[in-house]
Amino acid sequence: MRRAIDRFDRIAVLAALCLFLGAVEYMIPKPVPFLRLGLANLPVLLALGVLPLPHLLLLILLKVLGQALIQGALFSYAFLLSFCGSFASGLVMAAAHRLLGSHISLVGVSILGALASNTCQLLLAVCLVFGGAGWMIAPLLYGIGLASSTVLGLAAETFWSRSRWVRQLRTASG
Amino acid sequence: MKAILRFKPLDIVAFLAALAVLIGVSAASYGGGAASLTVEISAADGTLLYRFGEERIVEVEGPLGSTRIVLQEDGVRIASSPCPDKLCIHMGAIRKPGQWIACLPNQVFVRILGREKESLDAQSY
Repeated sequence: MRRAIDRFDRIAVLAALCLFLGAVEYMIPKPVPFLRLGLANLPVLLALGVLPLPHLLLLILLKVLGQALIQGALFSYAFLLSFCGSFASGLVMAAAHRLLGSHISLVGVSILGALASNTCQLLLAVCLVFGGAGWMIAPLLYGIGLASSTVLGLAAETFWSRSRWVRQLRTASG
Repeated sequence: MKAILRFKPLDIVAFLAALAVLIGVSAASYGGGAASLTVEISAADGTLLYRFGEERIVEVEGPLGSTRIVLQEDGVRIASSPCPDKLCIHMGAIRKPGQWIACLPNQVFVRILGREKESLDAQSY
């Protein structure tokens, strides 16, 4: 593990972590297909401070594809929701992390990301799938999103500041 | 173990913003649920639509004369009718989507439209 992790290895390693966490999450029962805890977003949060934006987007694409493969939902509306939600949250998180810099920690970034993802998914669900009745799940979606993103943000922040592995990731040649 | 986590000001702002969205969305989707029902009154000379829940007295003209419909916060009923048997008055108030009152002699039809989930009429064990 002493070897410096190079640029593309980092994407691969983080994407593999997404895949693994996606599989862990798949074991947790959920009432509605796109109601997720978002464990697989942990590597994305860590990547914010490591990868440049294009690589971050590539990581998110890999995350979405990996999750869809695991869940067998590659060609369903759930995939579309997951795809758009992940990119909306990814862009918002990258913007928040870069623009707000030292005033916000990964906790706040994570909460904003969940907010963006949920809003995007909700709008799509209302427009494409459920119609106006889709708003009825909104409180549940936002509630779970807020709770899970807070916990996930705390975990990411702790991991970020303590893990030796993350430190190696950060100092690797990029 | 030293506490490493230190919240930054915008973390709290982000949390409160998300909480505000959550509360706003909850209020909009559950609080406003009942208000989305509509009362439809069909009479010989046309159809009238009112929001269920508003307080109002509506008079419509039919072949026999004037039918008075009372809209209240908790229901809609026919208060007076020129018809001979007054069945429409005896039907009492309607409150849920799908319920209706008809007065055939005077050609008045009142019903509640909406998408609220229908409940069971009765249960037996």
